[in-house]
Amino acid sequence: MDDNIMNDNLNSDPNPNESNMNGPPANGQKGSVPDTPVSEHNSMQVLAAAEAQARAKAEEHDREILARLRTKSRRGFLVGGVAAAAGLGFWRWLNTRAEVSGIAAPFRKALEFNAKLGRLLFQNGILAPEFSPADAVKDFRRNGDVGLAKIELKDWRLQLVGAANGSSHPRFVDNVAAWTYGLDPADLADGDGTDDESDTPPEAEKVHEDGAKRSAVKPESMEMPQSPPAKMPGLLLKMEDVHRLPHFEMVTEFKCVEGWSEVVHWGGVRLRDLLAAFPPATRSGRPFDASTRPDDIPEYVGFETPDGEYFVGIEREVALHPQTLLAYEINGTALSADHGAPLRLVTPLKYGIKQLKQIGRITYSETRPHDYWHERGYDYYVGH
Amino acid sequence: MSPEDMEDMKEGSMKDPKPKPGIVASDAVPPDDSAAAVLLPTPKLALEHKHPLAIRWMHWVNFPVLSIMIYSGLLIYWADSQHNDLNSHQVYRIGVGGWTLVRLFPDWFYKKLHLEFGLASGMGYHFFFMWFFAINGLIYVLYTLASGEWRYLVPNRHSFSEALQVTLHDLGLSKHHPPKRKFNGGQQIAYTSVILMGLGSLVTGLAIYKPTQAHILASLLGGYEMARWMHFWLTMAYVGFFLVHVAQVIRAGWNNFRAMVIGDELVPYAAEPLGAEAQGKVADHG
Repeated sequence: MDDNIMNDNLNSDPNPNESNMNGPPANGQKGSVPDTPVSEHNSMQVLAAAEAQARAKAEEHDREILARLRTKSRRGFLVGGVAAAAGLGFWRWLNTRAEVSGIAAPFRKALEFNAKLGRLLFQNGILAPEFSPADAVKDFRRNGDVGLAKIELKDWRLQLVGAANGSSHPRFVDNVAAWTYGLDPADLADGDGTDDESDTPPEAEKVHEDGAKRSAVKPESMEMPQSPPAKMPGLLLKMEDVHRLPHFEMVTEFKCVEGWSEVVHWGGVRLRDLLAAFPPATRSGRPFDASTRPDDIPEYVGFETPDGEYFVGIEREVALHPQTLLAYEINGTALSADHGAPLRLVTPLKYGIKQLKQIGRITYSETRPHDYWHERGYDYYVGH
Repeated sequence: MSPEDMEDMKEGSMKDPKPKPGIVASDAVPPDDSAAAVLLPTPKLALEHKHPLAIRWMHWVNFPVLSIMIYSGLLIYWADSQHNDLNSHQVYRIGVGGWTLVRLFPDWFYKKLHLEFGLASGMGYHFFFMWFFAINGLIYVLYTLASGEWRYLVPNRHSFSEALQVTLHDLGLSKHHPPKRKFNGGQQIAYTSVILMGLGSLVTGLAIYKPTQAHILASLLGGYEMARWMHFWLTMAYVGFFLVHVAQVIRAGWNNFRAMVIGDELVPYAAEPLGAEAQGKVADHG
């Protein structure tokens, strides 16, 4: 009964203190209501009880909140901990996979995936920005001398392997690899024939070589035959054959994978003009036509230095790009030995590591040619 | 109440006599003319859902991914730093024109960090984790747009003056703290900027990665070297952001940090429960 009154009072009257001052209700009108007025004392009791009940409710509410917080925290931090451990496990797993060409397999796969995507989106019509010859550097930086040898121009030949109908060409020889460039045959493809013959300033080469060594890359076999293959039929071209192709100049930005870049004024011939003059055997058997059937030729073009120490491969579309050159000049003068005399590869579609100096052999290849830095953990494509 | 709960409340600064960031005593009890309502005890605590699950995941995924991007970026820069004397144009430096105060980074810096030189592995990491960074960032932006969460994050016309007030307050130069909201003006500017910086890293990164195929982009950025310069300094800005962010998280305390893990924050009870969409009354930092 008391409880009811209390609740009634609370519910019906927002201000019980005031209602007390109004005095007792009219007597005898409502039998069910006690006829004694609610005293000050009772009112206090009612309030105290209400307060106690509200406090109990409030405390219960807060306890529930804290219980929920504890549950959520336990779950949240547990999930977070498991996720963090999984992330760390993933990182360890990535780094402990077997190496493929000098880098853990997942990273090699990612590089290959990126390359595939790059080739898919590649457009041969897009040209690298060209600059004015005045913007070109006077003294182009030298970086790396792997594969460079001292060769007299009269001793230089360009070995071309994979040309169509080669055997009927006047420059055909049944073994281009037999050409020795006037070098001691012992220096050819024997592993360390070039270092002491280089013109490159030693401080420049050392940093680069040192860097390569410090990069925790395990040296792999060079994939080079210890002695040239018994026979490699092809064309043995002279510099005059190269000079007969249309002369082309461009001023483009040369970009090194290490992070530096310089604007260089190149002169030479386009590789695509060489491909047109000495076309590779086509897949269809029809004569090669770069403008209508660019896909009709082998997928890669490989390059090697005369001693076989440095070697790269580029994709067909890069070979056919109008800014891919076989350069024999910088700033209008013949290439110096440390820039790859007499002929080097230049393309703004790749980092410098692909722009091989001192070309000895060019091979049209259906399979991907071996590549010096690729074997040391770098991306094969490094395409721009 | 268990002792831990009491501890929780202290850490959440619920019973702190001094108004800590975000707790204003009068906020706990809504103004009410009714004397009874004032006298009767009300609950003190409430949980407020502050960070959606998706945002928490993307935030915590980004932390290691961005760390790896910065780490592998350092390995890549190292290949350039090793030729300090050779680099005529000196992209990575503090200096103007022909004058350079310091080249970034000096050799001792890499040694101090105990890094192992590796351009190949640096690029391997960089071109693997760039996908995680880009995709996570893209989903974050799409999610904040679709969920309406962007409304709390994008600065408005008050944000800049508010950011100044918050900065002065946090540096102890001013006692005045602007009204508490889920994210204050300073946070809005910081969190929106860091997303724009992420976009900047992707754009400058693409320009460096494909300078011929994306040469128009590279030219718009001021050329290849300028794109590299921007890419580098954006990274430096992340490091700056990270340091301030962590300092502010430490300042704001455990309750705030926990909310980034579990989603909910312990807040003072309000008579009219705040809806999930309602703006929080507790300010946080970080």
